[in-house]
Amino acid sequence: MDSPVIATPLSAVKIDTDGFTALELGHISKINLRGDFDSPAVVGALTTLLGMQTDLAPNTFVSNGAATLFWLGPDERLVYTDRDPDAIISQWRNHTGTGAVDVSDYSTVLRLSGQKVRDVIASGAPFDMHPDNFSAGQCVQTRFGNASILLSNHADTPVFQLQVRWSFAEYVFNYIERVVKYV
Amino acid sequence: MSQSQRLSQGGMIDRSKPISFAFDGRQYTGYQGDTLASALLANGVRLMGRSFKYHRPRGAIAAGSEEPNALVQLETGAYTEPNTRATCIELYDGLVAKSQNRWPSLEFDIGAVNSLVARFLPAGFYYKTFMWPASMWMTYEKFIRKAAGLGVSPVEDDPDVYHGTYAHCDVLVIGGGPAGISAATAAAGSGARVMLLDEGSEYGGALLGTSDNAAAKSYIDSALGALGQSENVRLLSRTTATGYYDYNYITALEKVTDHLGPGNGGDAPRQRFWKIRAKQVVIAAGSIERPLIFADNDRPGMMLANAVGVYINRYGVLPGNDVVVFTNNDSAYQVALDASAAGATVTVVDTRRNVSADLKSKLEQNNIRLFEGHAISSVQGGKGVESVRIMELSADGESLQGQAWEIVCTCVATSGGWTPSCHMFSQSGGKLKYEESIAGFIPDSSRAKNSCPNVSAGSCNGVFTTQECIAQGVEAGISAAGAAGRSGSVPSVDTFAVNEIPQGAIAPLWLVPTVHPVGEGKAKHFHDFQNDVTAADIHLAAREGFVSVEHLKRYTTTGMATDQGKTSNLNALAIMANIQGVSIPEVGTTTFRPPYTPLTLGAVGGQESRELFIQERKTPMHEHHVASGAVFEDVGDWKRPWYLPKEGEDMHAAVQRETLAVRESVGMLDASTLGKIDIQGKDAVKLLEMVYTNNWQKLAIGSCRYGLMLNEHGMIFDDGVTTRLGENHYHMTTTTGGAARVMNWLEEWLQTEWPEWEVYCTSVTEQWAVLAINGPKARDLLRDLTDIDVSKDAFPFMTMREGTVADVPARVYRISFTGELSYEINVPARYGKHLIEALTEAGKKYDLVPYGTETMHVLRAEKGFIIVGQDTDGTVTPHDMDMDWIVSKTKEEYLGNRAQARVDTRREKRPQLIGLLTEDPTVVLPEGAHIVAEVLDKPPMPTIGHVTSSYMSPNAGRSIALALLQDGINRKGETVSLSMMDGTVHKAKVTDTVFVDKEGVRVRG
Repeated sequence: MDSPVIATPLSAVKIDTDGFTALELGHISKINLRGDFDSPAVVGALTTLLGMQTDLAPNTFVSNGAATLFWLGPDERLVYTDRDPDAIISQWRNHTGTGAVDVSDYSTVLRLSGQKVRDVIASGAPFDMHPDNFSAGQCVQTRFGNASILLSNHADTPVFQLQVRWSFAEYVFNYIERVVKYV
Repeated sequence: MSQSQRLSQGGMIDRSKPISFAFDGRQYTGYQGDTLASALLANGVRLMGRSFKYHRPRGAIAAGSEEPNALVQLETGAYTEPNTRATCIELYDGLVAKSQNRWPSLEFDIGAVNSLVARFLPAGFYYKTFMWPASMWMTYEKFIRKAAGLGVSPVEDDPDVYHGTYAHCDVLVIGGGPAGISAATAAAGSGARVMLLDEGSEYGGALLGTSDNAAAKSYIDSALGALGQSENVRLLSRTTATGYYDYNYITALEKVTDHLGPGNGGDAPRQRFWKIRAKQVVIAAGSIERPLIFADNDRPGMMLANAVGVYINRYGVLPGNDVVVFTNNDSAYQVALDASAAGATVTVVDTRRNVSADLKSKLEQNNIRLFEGHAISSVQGGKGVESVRIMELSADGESLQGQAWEIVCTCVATSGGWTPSCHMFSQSGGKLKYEESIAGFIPDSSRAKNSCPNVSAGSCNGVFTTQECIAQGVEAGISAAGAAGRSGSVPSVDTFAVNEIPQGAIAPLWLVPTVHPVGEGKAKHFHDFQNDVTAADIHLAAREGFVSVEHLKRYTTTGMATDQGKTSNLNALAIMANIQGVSIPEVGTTTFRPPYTPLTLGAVGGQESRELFIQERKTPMHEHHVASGAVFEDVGDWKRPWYLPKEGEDMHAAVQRETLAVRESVGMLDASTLGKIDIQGKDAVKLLEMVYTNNWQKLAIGSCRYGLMLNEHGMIFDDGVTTRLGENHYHMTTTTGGAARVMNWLEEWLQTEWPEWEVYCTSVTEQWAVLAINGPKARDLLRDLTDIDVSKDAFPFMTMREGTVADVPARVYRISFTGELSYEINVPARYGKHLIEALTEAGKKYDLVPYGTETMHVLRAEKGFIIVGQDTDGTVTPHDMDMDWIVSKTKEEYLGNRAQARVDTRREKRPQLIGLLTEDPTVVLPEGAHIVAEVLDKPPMPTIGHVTSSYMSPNAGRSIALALLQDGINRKGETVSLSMMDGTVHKAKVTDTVFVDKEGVRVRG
């Protein structure tokens, strides 16, 4: 048998129009981490396992090349990692005794860039994306149409990433494809 | 057709761009920059519609969005739109419009007979006449709607597309007149993020209607040009703020391509609906002129004075060659001067006796006659004013006296003063105060709602000169920006003056007397043109006790319909105040409600229509199902394979084949949609103990258990299998439709009742793609693909094993919803497609049959397994389901426990789940069929239960059904009757709920 194909919900689909580009990124390993992020065990685990600081401001993210850490809530972080998530998860549980879940396939990520990005996303998201309110390094959990999304700002040019649940990905993509003509 | 009333020069229209259009089937020509109303007036067309109730001939009275009369049916077919205001329709080539509310034609309208019998159609006529018999209302309603309706809605689907969007700003400025422009300029200069909205096609507001609008235009253009430079400013023309909601949430409708004509917008949406959150709002919405109320004041040619000025100055149209200006204040004098300058013969009739010397001399210089202390006593002309008669007013203004003078005229420009547009402020929750000096309500800023910080500026705030408006705008812009935290260097804003005469000393005359008392004689004094409400109707309402302003509105319908009483409300209040002998503020105002002007429902929906109305969620295996010819069913918002017909099969045949195959060989179902929740933390088992009715303390690692969840009322609300993955680690499954509800339920209890527990719940529904394989050959099939030891002893029923399946990591749960030997194979979603392809291939030698939700329903019903939401309906306890076995007798606490002891939950004869076998085994009872205690000739019959699930079961070899039946458990063995809609009665035997493999051998095989 051929080696199994790794699928994504949108098969790496693209939109490339004047002032707006959307691209589904390939599979990304993701881990949802839970716990008391002030406790020494958790602080230590983050540093050891990911080389990350824990004092992440609310609704921001940091990246060190191999991993990206998003603040989702006082007791919740999300990690994108290049490493084997199972290894990190088991070590996290051993170190901290708190929760870690592999959510690699739960959602997919669209990379959005171009001048129209904010207007496209504003069509479905009630969050204020003006640079004064949402600059590079910030992330927010909001909605786009009926879909819950995690939106992160990677550059003010702008380059955004939009993470959406697998089963809502097609809906979100269709939504973007429709409104990009209107803005 | 010549434009007989078009002035030879002037106006802001583009005379190099003639535009042809059709009204009521006749072709006319106007110019780029015209509205439909201005173009019709240019062509000498005064008659534009018939009124709502009496079918009286009507023309445009306004030049803006307050227009109550000139409502037309715009365009045809799918693009047609009723009740559009001719004064707001920008003219485009090929425009087609029809007048409304007339048959067979506008000139000759049979409905006008209502006018002859008007004395029998007073306010409240419908309420009084069509009250009884109540059963006839449905019949009456059809005729009333037809008789009273305005335009006609299209029957086709809307061919247009719409866009909705959110926006945020520091300062939202509503209205782009002098106050609004200067407010936006000041706020933007202070560094604020500004949005400036104006409903017109061009900024400038009232300035555009002045005689020196060319100079005004350059002032406006320079201000707008500067604003346009700032990337923090968003300018939206053709955009009306429609609603003002809590916490400065404002909705606005932008007409993006309406002005281009239907289908000419390209990719752009027809309209855009803005949902704006503003830190501060500057309301600069302007003011609306009131008509004077006198006998037959609704004849075509009667117009608001400012509208006459706008038609002359902005559109280069003289509405009439002989103009009578009828006023109680100074502002209309400018209109008299403008009309005179445009070549009209003008007469001014002023109800006041103390007109200033300055105004008098201006009139004299232009040969304009002035009648002081006079009023119009009657109007001649039916389909258009031909002349008016004027008489002297008595000193108290209550009667007319002396000789009547007749003045020939085709246009009457009336001004009863100016009403500040307080709609937005009032919608925001602010209270109004009555300002005697201007005879109108203005915003009471001391009684604004704290949660909606705003400031009013300009004529909506009661100041009427351009320079005052600009000054207030600047002040408002700076203060709003400051309140939003932007206090850059205070910019200087240029001021500007125009030829205008402000309202001055107004002498209110709310109802002009006639020779007859109001309501007697043939003449009608309209205050509300759109709903055909007269001063006499207000008197009638008062006589019948409807004196409260809200009662007055509903009884007479004043202020209702598409114009929401913009020109009529204050006059109505004032007349009621006079009748009652109280002050106007004592009468009060009705509530201002959104939308400010009518808006298109399509725009409110925006892009969220058709496939974007509700998401279609699909599993990672969806493409494979499509390729397999699946017919899909909506389950929640998921698309699930319903059945997979082979060539030539109907649904019944497919389901029978699939159902048999599962029990004879092996079947395969995509179960990815089931809700899945990962639960971790040292208190995880405490959570399970609370949310499920059974015991979880002793569940071994690697074992699975079925659980039932109850709400606080003790009623079943979800079920599923939960597996212990590790020491403090569980994998919960929920129903497909209940996934989000259960997640919220767990979080709510954890966050509100047990925040100290260390439990973490994470939705993993889409992390896993799940295939269930069921049937006697399931083990053989799985063995071919996995490294897990699948032998009966190594992998018993109700356990989970991890390993690989088809070379990808998997968790395999040996659980069953079919009563067959079953495995639910979970793989990361990225391998879902791979898994179903691998199983399909490997399953060929085992006659693997893919099946859908319908077969799943039959299979589980054969085993008596319930579906929450089908066999339960939110009123059903575990005992009602004959599921006492799953309710712990030892636990002290679980959610829904206490409710089990309630009197009603324990009462006898509650409906209980039982099986039904019809006497005729070929009869499949309809789901929902009633079990009746007694068969009568016709309904109603006493119902004792209903069928919840019913199928033809190939494995039972007959039809089977599940039902809720009163005291059902004790009735097993009895025969009951079911009465069908068509009168047929079926007999059925009450049985237990398991129809196949009663001993449960197969599942453990």
